[in-house]
This record gives sequence, structure tokens and C-alpha cells, in this order.
Amino acid sequence: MSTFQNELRNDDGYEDVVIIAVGQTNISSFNSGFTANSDLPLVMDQYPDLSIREQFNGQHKELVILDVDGTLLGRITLNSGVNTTAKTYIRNILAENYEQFVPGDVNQDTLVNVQDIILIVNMILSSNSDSSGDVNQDTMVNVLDVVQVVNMILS
Amino acid sequence: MWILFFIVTLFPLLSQQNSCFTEDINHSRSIYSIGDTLSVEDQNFLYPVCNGSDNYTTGDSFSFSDLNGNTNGGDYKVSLISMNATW
Repeated sequence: MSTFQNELRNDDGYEDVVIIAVGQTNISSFNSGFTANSDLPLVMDQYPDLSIREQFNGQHKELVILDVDGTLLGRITLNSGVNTTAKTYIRNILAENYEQFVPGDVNQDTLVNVQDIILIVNMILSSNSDSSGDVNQDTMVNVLDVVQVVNMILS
Repeated sequence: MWILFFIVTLFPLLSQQNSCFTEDINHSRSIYSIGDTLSVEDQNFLYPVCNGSDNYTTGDSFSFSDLNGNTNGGDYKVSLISMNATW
């Protein structure tokens, strides 16, 4: 799974994608097994409550996709691992939504960098702005949007 | 005798300290379908991180609001949550 995360970030340019693994703790091999072999953050969903799984009505090996405000975009059960079908499903959802839910990517190259800052500054100076520059979604394109993009880059 | 005492009393305590759990996990939550947005309460609920990576270290707390740029200062993340009953 962490390999797929690297593919999404490095090969596809979805650098703001994170994969979080969720597990339960009544498994004796929890620490010695999974956590020793994973590069992903592992979040504990405590047995028997399993509240994360419950709120998504999730199944074993199910993966859910959330956008930046916590909206559930899709779900797929990975019974055969992260195979081609699963990768295609996930990539299709990202392709449909990623630019829309990554504020700051003004030029929509899937990256937030200095080029986006330049575009926003040009919008401000020319008074010819559009919604893509309104990073903080306050209906105005101004220095606050520049600051927010700078913070994104620095973080 | 001391070995038996250790096994019966101390070992469970030590094991508990090394495990990753929270005492109060009970809170009311909604069930979400595709298109639904997690409530603020559910996004803010804290879960323990048992294996650190990226911006997390082992022992940190995780919440879905960590990934929400509107609540974390502008660090927007699209998240894939992989749920597993067993490892």
C-alpha cells in the first residue's frame, strides 16, 4: 500500500494524497507484524468498538476515499490487494476531483508551488481574477490567498 | 514464585503500556455513505497512532481534521483510509 502511495505522489503527481492504515489492537501480531513492515501511519481502531469501520460501514480490507473536507468520494474492497482494477478505480476518482479539492493549484498542474503564487499575484495586480485564485474561498483574490499558498508550500 | 508473580501481575501492565489503545473510544457517530461529509465531531475525534510515518510519530493522535485544510491551517490532503480487521 505504501508503494501505491509513492506511485500516486511521484508518478501521478498527486502529492497531497495520504494513505492511512486502520487496524485493531486485539491481534497479537499487531506491533511485531504490521507496524514493523509498514511505511504508512497506522491508526488504531479499537476493538470491539471499531468506530472508524462502523462510521463508514466498512468491511475488512475496504478502502474509502475522502476529499479535503471529509466528504466520502468512493470505496472499494481490496480482496485481491491493490490490483490494477483497484488502482484504476482510485485514479479515476482522483482524476475527477483532485484539482477541485486541492486549493492553491491555480494552474492545475497537480502541484502547489511558486508558479501558482505568480499566477495569483498577477491576478491581484491586473484586477483580472477568477475563482482559481481564491484559495481561502473568501470570494476575493488578495494577499491572503498568496499567504495561504506560501504556507501550503512551506508545510 | 517471583517469575509467576511477574507473569500474573507485571507482564499485563507492561504489555498494556506498549500497546496502542484509548480508554474512552465511545462516542456517538454517524454512518456515512458516498457523498456524505463527516461531521465536525467525527472529524475531530482522536485516535492513537500506533505506527508513525509522514507527519505522524508513534504515540501521536490522529483525527480526520488533520487532513482537512479548512481546519488545519491550509494543509489540504486527499485521504485513502485502508481498514483492516486483521493484519
